Amino acid sequence: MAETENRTFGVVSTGNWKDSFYESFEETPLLTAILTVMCYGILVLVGHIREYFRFLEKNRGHTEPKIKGFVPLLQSWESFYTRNVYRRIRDCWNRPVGSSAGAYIDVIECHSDDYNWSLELTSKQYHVMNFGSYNYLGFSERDGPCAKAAIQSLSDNSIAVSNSRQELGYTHIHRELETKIADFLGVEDAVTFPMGFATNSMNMPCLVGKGCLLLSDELNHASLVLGSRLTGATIRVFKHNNMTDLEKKLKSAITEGQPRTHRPWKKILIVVEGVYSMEGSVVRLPEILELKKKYKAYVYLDEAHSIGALGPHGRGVTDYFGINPKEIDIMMGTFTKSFGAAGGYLGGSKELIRHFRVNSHSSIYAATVPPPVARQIISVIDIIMGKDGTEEGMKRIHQLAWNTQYMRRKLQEMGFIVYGNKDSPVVPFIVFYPTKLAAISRKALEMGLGVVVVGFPATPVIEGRVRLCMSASHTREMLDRTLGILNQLGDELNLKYSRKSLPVFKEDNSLLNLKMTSGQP
Amino acid sequence: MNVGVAHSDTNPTHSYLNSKGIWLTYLLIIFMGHLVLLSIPSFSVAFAWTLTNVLHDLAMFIMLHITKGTPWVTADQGDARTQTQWEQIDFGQQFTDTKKFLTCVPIALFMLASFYTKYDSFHFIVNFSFLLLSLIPKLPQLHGVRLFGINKY
Amino acid sequence: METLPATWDMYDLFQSFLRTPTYHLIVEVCLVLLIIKLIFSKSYKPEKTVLSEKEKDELIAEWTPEPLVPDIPEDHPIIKLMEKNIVTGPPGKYINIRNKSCINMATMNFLGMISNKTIEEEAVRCIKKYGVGSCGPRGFYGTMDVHLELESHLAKFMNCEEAIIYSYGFATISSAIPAYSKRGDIIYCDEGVSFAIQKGLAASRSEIRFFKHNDTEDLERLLIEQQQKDKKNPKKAKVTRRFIVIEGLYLNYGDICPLPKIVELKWKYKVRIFMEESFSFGVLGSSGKGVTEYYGIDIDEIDLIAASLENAISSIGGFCVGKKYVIDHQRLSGLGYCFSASQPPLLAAAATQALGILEKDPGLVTQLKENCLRVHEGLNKIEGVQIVGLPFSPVKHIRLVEPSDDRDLDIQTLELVADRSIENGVACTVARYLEKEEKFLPPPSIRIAVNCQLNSTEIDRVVTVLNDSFNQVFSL
Repeated sequence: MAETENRTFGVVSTGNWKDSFYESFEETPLLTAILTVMCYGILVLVGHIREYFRFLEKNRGHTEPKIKGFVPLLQSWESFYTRNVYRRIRDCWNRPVGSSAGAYIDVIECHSDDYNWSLELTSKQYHVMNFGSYNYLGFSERDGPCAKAAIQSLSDNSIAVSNSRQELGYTHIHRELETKIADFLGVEDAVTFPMGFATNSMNMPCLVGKGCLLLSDELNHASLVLGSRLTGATIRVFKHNNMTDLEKKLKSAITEGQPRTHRPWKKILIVVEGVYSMEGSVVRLPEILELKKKYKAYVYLDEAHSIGALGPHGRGVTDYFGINPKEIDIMMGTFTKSFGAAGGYLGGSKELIRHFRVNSHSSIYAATVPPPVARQIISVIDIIMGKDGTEEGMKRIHQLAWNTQYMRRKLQEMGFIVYGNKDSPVVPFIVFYPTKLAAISRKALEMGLGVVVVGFPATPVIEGRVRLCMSASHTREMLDRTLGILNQLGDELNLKYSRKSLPVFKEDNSLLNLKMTSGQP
Repeated sequence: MNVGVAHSDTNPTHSYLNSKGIWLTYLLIIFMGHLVLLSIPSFSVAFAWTLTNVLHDLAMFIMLHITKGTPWVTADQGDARTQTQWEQIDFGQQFTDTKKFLTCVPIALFMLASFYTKYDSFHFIVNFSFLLLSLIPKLPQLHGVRLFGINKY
Repeated sequence: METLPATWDMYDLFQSFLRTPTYHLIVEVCLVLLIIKLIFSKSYKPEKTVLSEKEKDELIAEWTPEPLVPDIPEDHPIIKLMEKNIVTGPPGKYINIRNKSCINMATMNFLGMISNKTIEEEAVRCIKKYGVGSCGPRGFYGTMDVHLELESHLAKFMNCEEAIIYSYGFATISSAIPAYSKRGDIIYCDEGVSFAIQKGLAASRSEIRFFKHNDTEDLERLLIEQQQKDKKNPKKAKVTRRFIVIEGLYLNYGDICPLPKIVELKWKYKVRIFMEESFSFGVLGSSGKGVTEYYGIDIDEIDLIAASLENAISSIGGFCVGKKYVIDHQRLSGLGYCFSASQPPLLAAAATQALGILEKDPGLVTQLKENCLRVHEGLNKIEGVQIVGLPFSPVKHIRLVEPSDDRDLDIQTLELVADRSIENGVACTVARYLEKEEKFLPPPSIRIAVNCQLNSTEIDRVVTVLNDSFNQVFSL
């Protein structure tokens, strides 16, 4: 059994990893590109005209009042796009939810009387399939062992520990959590924080500083970008997952040294993510490690979207590629996604973690992980590692991998342009037009499907997309229903742009087998 | 609209002009604008061409060289606020493909206008002065320079 | 214009092309040359020194990076202490350290909300309805109705138009400041502000001018200085936003900002006020609304109030309140809001519940004030130390009256005191700072946090234990 599984969920199979590493980013058809650009052009043009007649509008509560003598707090031009483009389709984001973020989710309907300037909740709720939350392993549950453990910890401990780690905020539950996560990751030690974003932004300044170089992937998450900027180090950006570009930049960095002074760099840190949340691509880790060795750089790997969601044992990209996690200097990840909790961790060598415990901003000035959240994480890790004595964890990992492959294949067969790696649980497909973004988001919600849509400026202009986040809690029946809805919408809204045929993967046979063996929940 | 996700580059103005189809769209818009002007009965062909050229150069000047900042809130802490659109394109790098293209278009338009106005000296003066308006601010030497302190803050 | 016919044909045009005036020809030739030059201009800067591949390889082989992190010995005092003082069970009024139940004078549990039964029940209800995590940022199905409820409750409680919640106290103010203040803007900041604010200032890239702690004259001096500069360059002044960043109750000093005077300066010099109320929210004023209530100042005078929910409310997270147009701006540009997963619903619900308790029972605030006064009075009797902070402040610093020149030595002394008092059943901690990174490092101290649930015997015990510990350490 293990043989087939390895081949299916990781690329470690015998031979070269590149053989089964498949990523695709199909190019936009030219006519669609032109029309999409024109679509934005018209929106902007109409926006400009509206701005001139803004004074005629009755509801001006959203605009900044002029206070005599004060410089306006907000630059009006900077919210042009928000007022004129985002506002029109604002209801597609920030949808309030009245249930847990499980396989199904209750979305509360919002209503606006004033063209989306303000949204009010109505009493109506949509019970929809949830393809929007990062609930990869389906542990965002209301009942079950994890929720029970969390509830238990409320009476054993408290809701929160507001002291910092060094000021009597370090409890036994934190020690347990940190040992568990280190064990799970396969690193020497780990340290945890209650907010994933802050894990990056507060801790990167502890690693590098002035005179150091950060090489950052162009699609890195905002927390990494903010963290990098706070370090004071020089930041250079390399093209997304492009190893030639990275090597070029590494080489010239070392040979040329720091700008102007030409002193050698103190350290070079390569910052990458495991799975990129908007592209659905997987980092080319083996090549990064080769470069790391060749150029003596350090690697910071953010596994926010990959931990739990990738690899035959759910241990992230290192597991996926069959790489020893100790080869990576800093393993970072969050508990928000696969673990259905909140917070983040840093894992690595003992020395590294000791440094964070003593010198991290978070260890001194900010609260530690709340006990119920910690307890949830601990029980999730136990389940994934099979320490609870069941096969539940493995079952979920298999289910997620199967769901991912099934969904990606079917969407591609239908003719959607699907981005990213064939094994990535983030499944974005491209719909281009901002108008279609709104249409698919609203229609899907009415038909019982909750998806995330993202458009410019969070993506390139012509690559507005719908993103599906797969989860182990999705059943075969749900996937088929979703595919049915998307198929219908794809025809109605004309979203099937793909002209590319899909290659045959060697596990395609086992995909069929898997359907039988892993079975349907 | 930057909800929940981000690119490392927080300011899309840096790169949106490099996306596919946008150059062609731009040319199409000029062409269509010109057709509209041509279709107005009282305008002669020469006048329509000069008008196209003048309007194009003026629009370009306002959009690329006067407007500063970005229409969205970026996390760049106000770096873009001091830069015109032109200075933001391609991170301020000079002689990139986009910048070359944006420089060539007004020149080509000027030549076309000259041809269709039969090299008339009046039209020449008008067209040429507007051409300069859209070319001079593009000079690499004037990157970040605010002549006579105009548009400085 | 009349010379040109309304119609045209190609022949005419070519005829005129052949008759092109010379000046025109010259211009066109120049332009063609320009285009040719453009096309051949390279977009990259040529390397100044050209190295051969072999040289490059040598350089790469020679280069050795510094170690990733400095070597921190396994028996570093802080690590040893952390392991020694590891906490078991809830850090409520009593805290269990080293298998000993100590009176908790370390946790900022001012109103005793930790292990409050109703809050716990609410949290249990919430886990049963929403699970533990929200599994997404606010934008992508991470907005639960409990978050909206907490926001509207906070806004109502503070009498503000709008509130926004963050999932981490530290991230609140450090995201809020850079959302408004950008490069070119000026921030006037008190020297005594806490580290989260300092990080926010650094992230804003604005010009930072520090004024002496709680010294409004110094602040006014800086403002006048700027006014004179503005007169010289009124154009620039028109686009320079100015902010005063202060804390309501200073964590590092235990005192309150002189808000009335600062509000006066705000209107006089047209500066906006951002106030961090992490330690005054739920503590000051008759119903716990903070410094504005304490001074009786209209809350609209303050442009933005940020506070953490981790102290008086005893949850995890933070919030900002203010006018709608101010707060809503953060929903798209507060980095810690947009790009982070939302607060776990159970923590939001717990905060709402705690806020409800505070609203219903303002007696908690009065009780806290009494306790603070009593603790202050008691601690003042200890010899050789100085109590920093206002008598009614729940955060107090015990500093040495005669510090030595060596900071480390003083910290060791205080560390010993804290250690002994834990042995004797009173948990307290030395205030820790990142010494290299703090802008204005406060002197070493033991930080005391007062809980409103303490009764007089417990307070007496705290005072006695601390007194004894100090005496023992001083007599060493």
